[in-house]
Amino acid sequence: MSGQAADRRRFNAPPNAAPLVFVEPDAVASSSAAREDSRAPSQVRPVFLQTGLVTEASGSAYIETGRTKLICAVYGPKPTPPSAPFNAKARLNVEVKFAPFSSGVRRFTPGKDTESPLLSSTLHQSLLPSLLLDSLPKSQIDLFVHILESDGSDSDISAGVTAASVALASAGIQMVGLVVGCSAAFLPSAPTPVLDPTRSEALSSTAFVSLACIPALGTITNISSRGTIPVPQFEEAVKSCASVCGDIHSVARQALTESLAA
Amino acid sequence: MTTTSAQPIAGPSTAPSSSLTPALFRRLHPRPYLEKFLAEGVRPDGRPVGASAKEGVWRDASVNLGSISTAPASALVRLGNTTVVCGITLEIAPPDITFPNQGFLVPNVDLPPLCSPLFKQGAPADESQVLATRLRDVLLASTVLPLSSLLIEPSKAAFVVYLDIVCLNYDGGVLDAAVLACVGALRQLVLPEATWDPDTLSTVCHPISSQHPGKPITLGPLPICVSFGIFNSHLLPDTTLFESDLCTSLVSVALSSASKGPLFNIYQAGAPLSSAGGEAGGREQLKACIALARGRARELKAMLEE
Repeated sequence: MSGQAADRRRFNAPPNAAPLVFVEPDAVASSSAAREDSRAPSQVRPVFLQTGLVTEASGSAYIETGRTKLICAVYGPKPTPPSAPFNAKARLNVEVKFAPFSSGVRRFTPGKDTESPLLSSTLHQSLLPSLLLDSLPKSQIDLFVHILESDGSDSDISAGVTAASVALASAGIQMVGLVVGCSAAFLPSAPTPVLDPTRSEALSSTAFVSLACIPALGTITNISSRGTIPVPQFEEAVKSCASVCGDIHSVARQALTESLAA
Repeated sequence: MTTTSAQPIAGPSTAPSSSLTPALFRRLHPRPYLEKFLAEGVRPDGRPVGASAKEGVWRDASVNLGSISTAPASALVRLGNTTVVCGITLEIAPPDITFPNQGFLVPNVDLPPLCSPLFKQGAPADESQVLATRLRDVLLASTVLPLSSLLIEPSKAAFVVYLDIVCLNYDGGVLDAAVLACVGALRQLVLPEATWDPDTLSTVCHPISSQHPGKPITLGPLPICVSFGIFNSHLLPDTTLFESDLCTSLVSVALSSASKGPLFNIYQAGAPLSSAGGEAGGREQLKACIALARGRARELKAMLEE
């Protein structure tokens, strides 16, 4: 914070500003395998999905799962600038941004954020196989994701994938199916992986898997994992994520049909 | 585009082709489109226009407080289609040497490319810098947040209140929505109990709980900002983006929401306000703006307080 060059385009933080330091609250160590919000291990938090919030965009979607809230807008397809080299398939540009108030400690990096490019490329990777971009040469599709409240960056990817796919669908981009994301964490106290972990669960996990799949086709577009996981447990996590994705898919489909009916 | 009907518009013989759908007509000939509506005494979104219009002149406003749980206080404001989120974050910094008994207020307005096709990725647009400056001017002029109430220890530690505004949908009246969001969030803000420890030269805070309830801030007079546009001598309160792009003058009035409270800021851009009445006509228009703004400020204050 201190020593950052003054940015003349904004009001700057006063020098030597530091985040609040809190007295440690009386910690109640929980060694039980039960989850904090008393969900079953394979139970995901209710998903609220709504399209059409950004009126000027071709398509937009707002998703809330638990405390994660993010909004996604799609602009395009629009022509690439003439100076750009020829592309036979449309280019998908993904940009993920965090709101400064999204993670508790003020998160303000005027330039490039170190976490966002990773999320952008994971999102890109998850969505690309579902889109039919051959029919859009010399075009680009801009996808902007803005995370308003973040409950652990990994569950943001899963929610982000679902919202982005719904936004692309409501923008009329041709696709083979909706992409839905789900993640699982391996906690030291629980034998089975817990799905849709909250931030505190993700932070205390020994391993983490996140999955993006197209339930309509039964194909997986992206799996990423962190930590060491024995192979049978990994397979189990992938299977339970994929089955839960079917439920989330019906929520997403519902949101889309409601928006088209309106 | 919100219009769904495909009825072609029959235009006068001098006007361009009469076989256009409303959406296309709006896109190709925005000025005649707006003029046709105003000739009937309505605006494109159905609101009445004219001196006799009293009801329904303003867009629907709604405020949703405290939705972001990672922020100590937050507000989501919708003004018609314009949607703005304000999140407050707190930090602690040593006060400025010249003002040892004051904290800091740092507003920041972010207009991401998400909210409108007008904004591109990369450096913040001029618009966001202008908005941030005007927001700061309104907030400081109104003394809504007395900076002395942010003090923890004179010359040693004070709170820094960051007001981060993110626009989610850009449809005119963003400053109005931003001021309303800041005011809504500030009303919710409770400063945690903070004690300066002279031994470690640092501040320690207690998380808000029943034993340490913290300190809500006593706010000064709440500012409300209201924007107007002037188009062909019609006064259009609370313009949408489409309307404000066509208006010749734009006026913003920031005043206290208390009845007979002071004016904080008047901003006028574009052509001078004089109409057929000359300079007096311009002054009359400004008085009309201020009177309308007072009514709106009362409404919005009541909405915030319920």
